[in-house]
Amino acid sequence: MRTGEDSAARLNVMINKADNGGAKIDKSGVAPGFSWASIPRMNFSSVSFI
Amino acid sequence: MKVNNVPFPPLRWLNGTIPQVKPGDFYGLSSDTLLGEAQQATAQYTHRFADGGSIKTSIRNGRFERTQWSTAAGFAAGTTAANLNDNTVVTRAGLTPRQDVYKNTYAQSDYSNVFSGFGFQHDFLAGIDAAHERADRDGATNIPTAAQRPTTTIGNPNDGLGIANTIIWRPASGYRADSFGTYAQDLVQVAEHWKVLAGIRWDSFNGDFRQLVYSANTPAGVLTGINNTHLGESLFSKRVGLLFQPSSTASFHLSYSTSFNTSADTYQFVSQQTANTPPEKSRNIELGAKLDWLDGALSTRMAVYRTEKYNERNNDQDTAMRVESAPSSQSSLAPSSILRLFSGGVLAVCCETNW
Repeated sequence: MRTGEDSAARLNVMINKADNGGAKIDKSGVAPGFSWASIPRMNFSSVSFI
Repeated sequence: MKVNNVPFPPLRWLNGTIPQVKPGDFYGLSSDTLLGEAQQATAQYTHRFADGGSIKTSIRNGRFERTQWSTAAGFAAGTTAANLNDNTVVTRAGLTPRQDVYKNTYAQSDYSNVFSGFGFQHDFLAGIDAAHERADRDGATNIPTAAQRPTTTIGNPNDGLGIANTIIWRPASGYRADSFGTYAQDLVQVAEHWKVLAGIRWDSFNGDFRQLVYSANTPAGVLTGINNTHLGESLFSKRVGLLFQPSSTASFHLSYSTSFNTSADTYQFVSQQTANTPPEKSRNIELGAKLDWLDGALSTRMAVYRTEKYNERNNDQDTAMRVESAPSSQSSLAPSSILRLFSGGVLAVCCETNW
């Protein structure tokens, strides 16, 4: 999602559930990210996975 | 990210062979668990100069937690591959419970540029990196005994049985380690089709490792001592290479490089007896080629190489005893392992053809 002329945000969400006859998988996560380039030749980005 | 799994249990070998059971049948307990939580954040900053050079800086911080307590399925005495059937009893031993927390921070900043100087074209890279790594591991007491673990039969997988988790955790081991590295390399165009690569890296590593000792392996056991071990080294690694690029679609290289492992987790089993063993060291000799075909639609890469690792940290009982019992001066004379001899690959980049 663009948040301005020179910035954008990104949000990844994942959920994984599985039942394999006794063995189970239950995972979930979210990873927001933001990128910003206000000055030519500069770029800043941040990604976290929590 | 959060994880709350029931892990698939291993099934022990039967008379030296893999038991013939239905793949996917679950012989663990419903109380088996793998709990985890991971949090990680990364920030990256790039500054580009007017002359084409750039500085790229990144910082990453992570925290990882894990608790695992699960089952290893096996067979009672007298079971053979010949008498295995749906009524065969499956035993459920407990794997060693594990609980640990890792916290790591990494930072890296490097400068890169392409420029002409001293009569040659240079592709230059230089930078620094640093790491802080820490881990805290717990040991388990009051673990349910094997007799408390119900059995099942081959014909009755996923029986839904579980047992109460009575485990009491206590701190068992951990480490704190810091490392710093600085590096520079230059790829120099020395002739029309020839390039020479030269690089050097310096690492400094310091880690403090501890093992906690208790009077008994029960909840009543009291802490009687802490075995502290320190490992610290400053090391140089080097890299040299020769590239022959007769056309825009063909590149051949010959290279030699050395490296050291400064990851604290590698040295987690260091003891006062092995603390003087030098760090893990590797060297690699490689002859390879990259060829592009079909106007770039098909790319092939291949290499013959030899990688040797010295002073390998190995906690496997069958081989670690041999390595660790050797004096450090001897263990550095011969490689602990030779990893690979050949690799190759074919990469189809694009396939816009009229076949």
